[in-house]
Amino acid sequence: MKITILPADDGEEEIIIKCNALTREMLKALEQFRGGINQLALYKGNEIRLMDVSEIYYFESVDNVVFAYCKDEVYETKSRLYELEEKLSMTSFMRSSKSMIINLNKIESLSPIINGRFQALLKNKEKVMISRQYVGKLKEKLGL
Amino acid sequence: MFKKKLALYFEVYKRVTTCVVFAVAVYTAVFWGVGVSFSPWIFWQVILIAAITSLGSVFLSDEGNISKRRAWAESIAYFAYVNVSVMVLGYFFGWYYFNWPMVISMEVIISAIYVTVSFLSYCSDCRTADKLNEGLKKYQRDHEK
Repeated sequence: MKITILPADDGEEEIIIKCNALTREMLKALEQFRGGINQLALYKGNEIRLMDVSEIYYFESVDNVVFAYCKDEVYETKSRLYELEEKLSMTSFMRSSKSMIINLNKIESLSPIINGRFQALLKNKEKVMISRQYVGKLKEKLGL
Repeated sequence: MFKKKLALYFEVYKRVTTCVVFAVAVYTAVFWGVGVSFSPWIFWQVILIAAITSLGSVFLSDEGNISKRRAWAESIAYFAYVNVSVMVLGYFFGWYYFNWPMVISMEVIISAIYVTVSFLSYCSDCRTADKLNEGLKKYQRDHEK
């Protein structure tokens, strides 16, 4: 890959990427340039979309593939769940079970269910489970 | 992980022990009469039964995404485990003989303790959920500005 660095004549710095396809490494580098956490590259079929993380309700890992669930749509991510957990640790996302990372800003309410687990009712009326194991971390994150 | 499981175990153990002591008091008063004398081992038996029956709670799945059916199946399995443990140990400790009134009473008491402990745990979880919901509202107010 050829890297060309030119002076910014008009004062505004700009990165232009010329490529045949956006690779995972390129997207990672882009995320770092963007400050890391505001947007994520999500995939749906052949379509790649840079999505604001604030629009994502939760991430779930199913058979080693991580999906991002938005209000009505589901996208695939190329990141592993632990990578997302690390990247999003300073945001409103937190691990809610072994296979899930949830956006606290998208939870409408929490209620207890059978066997000491909790259920989160999301703002899109979807229900997801929170393991007892992560309730302590949730309390910490909420400052309780 | 281990620490959390241990904390959960002792939380359940406290409730089970309280309920078992209460149940033994009622059961002995009804079936063994006022003038009965007890071996000091009864206290160790109560401690042992509470410890063994509480152990089942540690093996309940803590995974978030299990189905409701599996959660119920686990609860039923836990109840069966409690039932078998108490009936077998109770028999060896001489808490009951094989006659129907005593066996049925044991079953009623086991069920009552199971329901009471589950109810107390649920009430505790409801209080936790209330606190979390309050915290969540505050968090969302602060972070959505």
